[in-house]
Formats: sequence, structure tokens, C-alpha cells
Amino acid sequence: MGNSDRKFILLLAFIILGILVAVQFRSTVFANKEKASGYHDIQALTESINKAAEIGEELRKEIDDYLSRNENLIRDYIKDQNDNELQREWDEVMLKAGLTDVKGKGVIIQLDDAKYREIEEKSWLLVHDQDVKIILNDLKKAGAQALSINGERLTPVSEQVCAGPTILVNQNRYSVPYIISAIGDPDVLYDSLINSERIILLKEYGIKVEIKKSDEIVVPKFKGKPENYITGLEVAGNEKK
Amino acid sequence: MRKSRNIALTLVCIILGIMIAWQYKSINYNQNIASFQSKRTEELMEQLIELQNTNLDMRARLQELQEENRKYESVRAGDTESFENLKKQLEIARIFAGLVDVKGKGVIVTLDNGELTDVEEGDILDIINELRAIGAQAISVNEERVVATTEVRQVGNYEDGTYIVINGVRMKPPFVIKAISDPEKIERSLTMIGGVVEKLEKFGLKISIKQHDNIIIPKVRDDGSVLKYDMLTPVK
Repeated sequence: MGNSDRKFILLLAFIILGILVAVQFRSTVFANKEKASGYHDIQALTESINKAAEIGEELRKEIDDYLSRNENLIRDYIKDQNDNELQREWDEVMLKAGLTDVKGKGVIIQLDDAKYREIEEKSWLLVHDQDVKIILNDLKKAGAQALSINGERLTPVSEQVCAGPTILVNQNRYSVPYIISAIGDPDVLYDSLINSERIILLKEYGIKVEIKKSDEIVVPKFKGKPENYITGLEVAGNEKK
Repeated sequence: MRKSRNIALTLVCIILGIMIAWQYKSINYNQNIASFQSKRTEELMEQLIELQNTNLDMRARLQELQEENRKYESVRAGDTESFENLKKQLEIARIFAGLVDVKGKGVIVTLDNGELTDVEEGDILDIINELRAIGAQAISVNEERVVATTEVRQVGNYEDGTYIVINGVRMKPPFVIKAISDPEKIERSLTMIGGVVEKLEKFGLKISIKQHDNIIIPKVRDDGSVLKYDMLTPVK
């Protein structure tokens, strides 16, 4: 190896070294900057989210309060009418329509995302609207008489739709954990869940599933305005179907 | 002398090699962190917007309730206007619960077995849920009104053929699903790319959608087999 060759190699080595130092420096500075601003954003956002959730909680409480106040006023009014037929009819229709809070025996099931781990398909770690829909159908097959998800009463028009990391029920968004309450025969409901193919599958993926029987479950009434959900419907008289 | 110089040179090259590898990893790592953080920020942003929208909706609902409350507070016994109002509320609740036949604009979705695949309960559930998500106000499957507790159950096996039970009634395909809602909107949502129609067709099922101006959907059967509430106690 000649002297000039050696010098040439050394020169090359130092040039590469120089480039390396420069590139590393930039990358580190960039990462630090990103980290700092990202961290700041995340903290600010988390704070806003907590605040919005708090406001939502307050609003929900106030809505519940007014719903029951109005219901009581109507009840008093009906009582004052001294009309037993009206009273009976009102109670029955409200019960059938899901516009009354009800309680009874049943089961409560809670679903939560699996703990994060490295797997090929990350979406297997999450609870999806599809899972909720299938579990609700399992409960209906087992004769559930009243159902709610995170306090939203299921009605004939209640959807369960995936909206990002949350699901939409009665046009309200909820994130995990999803808590489903079902009133019916606790043993039958419980067995149907334990044997549900979907729940067995979810457990295999590590999704957290908790099922509890209970002697007193309260399923709240529908909180929306029923009028808004019948705008396109006309009562069909005695026409032929 | 010459030998030691060569060794030194080799050493420098080895160190350089290690550094390049190290650096490559470090830069990759930094980029990963940055992209993870921006993704997380995006997610949080979305969550915040969703919460704020929900709060807006709830505030509007609260206002409605407060107005209703003022109206009810001023009600007196024997007052005919309040009585009429009560009757109206009762009728609204009855329609909402599916206790009366209704008609309106909507679509009729027909779902049938394909040559190789049969309709399964999940397919019907998907369509019902999709229709609800679009805002369908009344839905029936083969003239069975779909209410809150309506189940869709698949019974039987492949050799003897399967059938579907809805509201306790056995049915065979084709399934005629009627829904009342804005017809254009329903058809658009069902047939969008990646939508439920595309998915079911990919499975090999036959599915067709027709818009109608006058769809009649029957009330829920009132023989006690669908709407059961013997285990419910109203909370007052």
C-alpha cells in the first residue's frame, strides 16, 4: 500500500465522519424540537379533552334532571285528570317506547381494548362497533327486554357505528370501556354471553371482557326527542299493506 | 511501523462502520417518534372535536327540555290544550315505538342467496345497522317490524339448509328489507365504495336496492311475542 493511498483512505474516512456528525446533529435537533412541540400539543389537547368531557358530564346530568322533572309534571297532570284509562295507556306506551327508566334482573358486560402489544394486526387489540352489534344481538336472542350501552337506551332507531376510536350510539359518541346493561333472565343472558362465539374470539385476542349477573340493573330511558325520529313517518290508516 | 499503521487504519474503518450503523438506527428512531407523536396529536384533536360536537348537541337538547319544562309548569288540570298536547305526545311515543303502521318515502333492499353463498345473520344485521346509521325511522324485514329488542338468529346447517328467525318468525331468503328515510341518501350510503352492498356482493350474495315513494311498514306484532316487558319495573 503506497503512502498516497493511505492518505487518500484517511481523507475519505474523515469526510464521511464529518458528514455523519452533521447529519446526526440535524436529526437530533429536529427530533428534540418535534418532541418538545409534540409534547406541548399533547398536553394542551389532553387538558381540553378533559375539560370538554367534564362539561359533557354536567350537561348529561342536567338533561337527566330536566327529563325526570318533565316526566313528573306530566304524571301529576295525568293524576289530576283522574282518568285511569289514560294513566294506564300512558304508562304502557312509555314503557314500550323505551321512554321510561326501568329496572330489573339481568347482566352487565364491560368491554375494553386489549393491552398494547406488538402484533401484526393492531386493530385486533380494539373493540369495534361490529363486536358491540353482535354481542347486542346475542343478548336479544337470549330474550333481553331492555338494553343500554354506556347509558344510551337502545330504541328501534339506535345505531352502533364506528367513528374513529369511538362508537356512535343514539348520535352520541362513546369511547371504551363499553358497558352494556341488559334486563332479562340473568342465567339465560349470562350463558348466551359465555357461549357467544364473538366473546370467545375477543378473549383470545386479549380484549378485556367482564360479565356480571345482577339483581338490580337500571336501564335509563331514551334521552333524545322522539319527535325528531318520526319526521318521515305518516300513520298508515287502513290501507292495504 | 507499517503493520501498526495498517492496523490503525483498519480500526478507524471499523469504528466508522459501527458509527454509520448506529447513526442509521438513531435517525430511524427519531423519525418514528416524531411520526408517532404527530399521529397521537391528530387522534386527540379528533377526539376533542367529537366531544365538542356532542356537547353542542346536548346543549341544544337541554334547551328544548327547559322550554318544555316551562310549558308543563304552567299547565292546569282540565285545560284542554294541555290535554291535546298530552295526546299528541302519546301518539308520538306510539309511532316511535313501532306500535302503528307507518308509510313514507324510502327504499326496499332485497337480499338473496348467491350460487355458492347463503345469507347469514350478520349480513342482515349489517344492513339494519347501516340503515339506522343513515337515519332510517322505520325498518322491517319480510314484514316483521324491527324494534329495539328484535333479534336476528340463524338456525340450521348447510346440509339441510339454513333459515333466519326474526322476532321469533322463521324466514327463508329472499329477504325484503324496507326502510323509511331519505331514499337518495340511503341508496348513496349503501352503494358507496367499500360500503355494505359492495361487501355483500363480494361475498357472492344477490342484493338490489329500489327507491319508493310510498313504503308501508307494518307495526310490531302485538301478540306479546315480540314486545315483552314482564321483567321490567318502571323507575319513578
